[in-house]
Amino acid sequence: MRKLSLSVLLILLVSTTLVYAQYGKISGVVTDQETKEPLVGATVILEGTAYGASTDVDGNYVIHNVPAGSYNVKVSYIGYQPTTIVGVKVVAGLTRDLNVQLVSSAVQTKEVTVIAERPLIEKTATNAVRMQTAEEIEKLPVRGIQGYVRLQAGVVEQNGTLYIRGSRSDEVGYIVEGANVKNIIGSNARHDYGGSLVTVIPEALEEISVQAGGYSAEFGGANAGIVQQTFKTAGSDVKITLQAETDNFGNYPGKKVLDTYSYGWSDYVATISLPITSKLKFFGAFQNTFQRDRDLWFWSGADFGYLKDNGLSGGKKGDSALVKWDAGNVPGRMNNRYTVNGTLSIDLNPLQVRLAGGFTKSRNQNNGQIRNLFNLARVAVGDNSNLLLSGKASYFITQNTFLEATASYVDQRNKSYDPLFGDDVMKYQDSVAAAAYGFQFVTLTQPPMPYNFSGFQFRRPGAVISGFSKDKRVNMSGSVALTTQIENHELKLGGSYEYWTVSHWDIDVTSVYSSVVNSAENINLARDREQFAKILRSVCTVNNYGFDEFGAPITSGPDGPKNPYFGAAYIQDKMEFQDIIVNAGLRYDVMNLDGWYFNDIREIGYNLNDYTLQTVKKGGRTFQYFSPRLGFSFPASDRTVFHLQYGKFVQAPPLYATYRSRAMAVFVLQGGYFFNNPIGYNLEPVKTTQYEVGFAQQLSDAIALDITGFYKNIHGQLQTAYFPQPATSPVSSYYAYVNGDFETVMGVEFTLRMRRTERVQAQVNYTLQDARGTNSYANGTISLLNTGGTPPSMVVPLDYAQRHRGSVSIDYRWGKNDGGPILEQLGINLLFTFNSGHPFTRATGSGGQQSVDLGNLLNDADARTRMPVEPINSSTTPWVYQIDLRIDKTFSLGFVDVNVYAYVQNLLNTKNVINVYYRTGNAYDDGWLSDPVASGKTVQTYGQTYVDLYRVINLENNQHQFRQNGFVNFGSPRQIRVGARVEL
Amino acid sequence: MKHSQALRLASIVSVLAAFVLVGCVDVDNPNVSTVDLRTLTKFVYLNTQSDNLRVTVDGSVVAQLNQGGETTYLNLPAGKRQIIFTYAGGTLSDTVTLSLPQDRKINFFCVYDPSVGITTLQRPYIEVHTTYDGPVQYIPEKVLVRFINFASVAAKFRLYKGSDFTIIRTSATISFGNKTNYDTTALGPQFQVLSATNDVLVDVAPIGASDGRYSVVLYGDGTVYKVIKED
Repeated sequence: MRKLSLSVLLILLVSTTLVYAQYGKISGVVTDQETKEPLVGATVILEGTAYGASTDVDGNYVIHNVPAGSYNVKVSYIGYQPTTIVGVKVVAGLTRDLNVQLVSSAVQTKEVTVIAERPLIEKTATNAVRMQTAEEIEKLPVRGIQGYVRLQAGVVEQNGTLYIRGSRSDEVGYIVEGANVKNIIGSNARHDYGGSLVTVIPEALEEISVQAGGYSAEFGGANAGIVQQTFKTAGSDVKITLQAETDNFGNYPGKKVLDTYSYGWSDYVATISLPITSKLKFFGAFQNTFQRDRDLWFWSGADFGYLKDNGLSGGKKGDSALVKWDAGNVPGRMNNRYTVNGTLSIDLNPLQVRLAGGFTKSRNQNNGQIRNLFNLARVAVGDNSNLLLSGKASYFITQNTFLEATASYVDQRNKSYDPLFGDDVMKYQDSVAAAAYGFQFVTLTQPPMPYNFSGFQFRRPGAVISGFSKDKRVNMSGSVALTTQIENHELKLGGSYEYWTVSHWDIDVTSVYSSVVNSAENINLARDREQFAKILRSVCTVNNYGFDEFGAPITSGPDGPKNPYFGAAYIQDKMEFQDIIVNAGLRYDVMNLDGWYFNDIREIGYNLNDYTLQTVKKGGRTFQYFSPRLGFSFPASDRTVFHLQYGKFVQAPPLYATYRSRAMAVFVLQGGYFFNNPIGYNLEPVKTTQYEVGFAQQLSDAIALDITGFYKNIHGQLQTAYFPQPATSPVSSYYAYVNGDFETVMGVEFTLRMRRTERVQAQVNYTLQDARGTNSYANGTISLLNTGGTPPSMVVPLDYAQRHRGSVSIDYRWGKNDGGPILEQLGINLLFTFNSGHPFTRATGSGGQQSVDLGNLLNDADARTRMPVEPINSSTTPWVYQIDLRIDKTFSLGFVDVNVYAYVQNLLNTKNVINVYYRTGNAYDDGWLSDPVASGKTVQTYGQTYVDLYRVINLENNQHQFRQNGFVNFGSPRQIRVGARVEL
Repeated sequence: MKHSQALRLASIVSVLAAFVLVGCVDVDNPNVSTVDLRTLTKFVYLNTQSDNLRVTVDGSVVAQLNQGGETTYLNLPAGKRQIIFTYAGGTLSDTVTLSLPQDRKINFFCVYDPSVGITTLQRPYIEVHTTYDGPVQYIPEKVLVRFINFASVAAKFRLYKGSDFTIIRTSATISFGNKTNYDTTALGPQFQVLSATNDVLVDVAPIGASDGRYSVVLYGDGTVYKVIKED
């Protein structure tokens, strides 16, 4: 910890992260209301802050570097009544136009107060920026960052993963408080690349914005889009909120209230907004979220009574167990999470300092399979923590020139383990250790064999079902930028540097113990550290970097941590003229992925005696790119704006693809096995060119629409390739990830916003897109290659290309002193979301070597036996519709406001089909029981109980789909949550 | 900043810092370490025709036994071991290389095989007892008894309840080198050894005052025995 503290201190003092703008500016002109003459020297200040400016000879003013948020802007001038504009919304990266007309004291004797409204169209935006503020978020019937982002135009959510404008999930960037928190590593889970490393409490958000490409030169490292989140800043008054919500009304386990199950959801949030002094402000938020079942599935219960083991899976024939489980919740899938987020703003005018931080600790269980019903004690537990510290200092050299320096530190760790033995993986398969928990093994190292109930295997108590893995990812980064306003030019010159330290360790836990105790020779070798390390590499295939073979942290050497780094310098000029705004910039990126590089595979020199690579280089290549960015905004009138954007973008591929241990590399290169996830060598960054053209029209004082069209080309995405080797080669033929896939996406995004009018506020988002590429995922064709095919060169619709997607949000709300005692401050928010299905390929083939409880499901993980019966991805799953509803009412009790609310997700409990079986194109029939030719012999062998088990386990609960493909066929069922928020 | 304000800020920061300190997932623990697996080994010298015995394991003398003697369970490293049995005043020896499995108790019975003659020490008869919760389970407050025959004659083994001398079981005829399974009974049973023709070789004798596993080993001409407590 001391090291951590020192590191943090060092960064804060010395380093310069990629900390992006979470600041906007306010500009305008101050004039006399009667004469329209500009007022020179008028004072414009943001109340409760040190931000302010004076007007120049033309009455113009600019206030730079204003944190995103809502402000009261006070304008004063001698001889005129001061005017305050309340609730001026500043959006990160944009300019808020605020022209003020002052009234002479001779005409008006009282101070003027005007309530600002957020503009319906952003004239200064040269690309499509979709933003939601805290006020909008809290009214929605969804909760959580992903829930907000997926509503935005251009964003697709499929099987829990977000995609922006048809790009792969790892191309979405995440920024919190200006710090890059994108997971650049990913994991070996199915298509699970990208995502955010840091947890944000919804109530801590000031705003969340989605830029679906087209961002300016200061942004990098994300080709598809950027999700930017900004924490709240304390206001001028002390404010405390306490919030609690639950979905548990006595409807657990297996019971329904209002025809709805509980998922054990409880959520507690406390926030404090504390102005310690007028110049020192603290905002903090704390959250605890518990879920008994963290994934919401349509889940049927069952009661088969006591079934007898037929002994066919090696267990004792005749043993019986009660095969019964409740409906609603999958057992062993809880999540418990604690999070704090906070900001500290220090105003030392002309120096402004803002410190922000977040910390999360969570624990979850990772069951998803009913076959673990009798062995929940050994279901894997996952521990996660993430820490964000960021600081920014800005110094105003002059009123229009300021220097920013930022630093951030992100530390994300996770660990997945067997709850009985935790870190001690030697004990996982040790019968003596297991006996202490009452589990009796078959032999010294052989765990209990599964029950086999009429062909369905259930793990016996004590079976080893959890592996072990751990990760540590640290990102230290910093940036400096100089911004100056010269007349209509906002010039920004900056640079950034980002340095990662990535460590990982996992091992085959089933072989660690047995490899030693089942070999008299290894028993002797295991006493010697070097010899044992060799066993761990060669027999247990340890996958380690940043940790030695034994799991102890190391900082250098061939197994040292991976240290990718990313540097950038940029210059941009935002020219804001009356009838055109030009945002021109050039970005220079330098990046080193710290992957493995070689000129010739024969250089690798792997050693099968000790499972090491002798000559392969770590680190190695550094890449440099120049990326021009050019954006235009044409405010044709106050109500009409065109925008146009062109840009080149470059980012690292998901680095999991190239980060493996030497032992893993040798294992892959020696050949003889099928690897679904091979290793990438010589990988290069992924490049995107995007064009965007848009049109925003304010249709009335209350309604505006934005239509944006886009087209982009992506090349260099990861693809698998096969490298056959001649018999004389020192390495075997092998598979590897290469930069081979390309993709073309085009689409139109439509957004219609209606400002609150007559109690109604509404927003409609719709996206029409066509995303095609050579592969949907990096390992999409490995099975094809394995069966002698060649990588595809034709583009096909991508798996996650939902052609139509949209949402309609309507908020109806009575204000204060409106509607009488019952309806006063009552609000109803209705959210309707829809999307067309996603492409899939109908196929046939055999189930391969699968057990009978999987039927003949065609699986993604090993698709070698799958044969398409139509062109790739030419079928589509059905459309998906969902309605969510939130009702809330605020009671004002003296100095306390109490808001009680209820929200229902999937109000109609629609059983949306989100995936289907490849064999049938149907979500309810996998083509097994319905085909007597295929299943007849099995049914005859195992009888009616097999059929009954198959129906409930596989067809109703999609267990075979989840086990083999990692997803289920249906969307989430209805969930009802109620809560209350107290504001002090 | 005023003192009270600084104090307030310090308190907030301290609480947050404490939260973070407690929180980060500990990934620094090693997950595997070198292991020194052990075997508990007992040497029993039951050759009535020869001199005393010296046992050397990997070059180190671990036992010096007179006829009928036994060692305690010696804690030896598991794995491949070279064991040398030296007897006849050091003039004769026999060397074996064996794999000693870990977490087990192993009994080496060094016996005289009448079919070979007295000048050669026979390769030891090796018994392996698992100490984990395996097929032979240790039962508290119970005695587990088995019979091993290293005598030159075949024999039957009869086990009595200690309380009223009712017969628990009489084994079939056990020839040289063979053994019965364990019988489980209450504390303090008695036993008797009979020849194949039911002559009494060993008269009734007590066994098992305390719980655990026992082996009754008959050796020599069939009139001498040794009771070995294994737990």
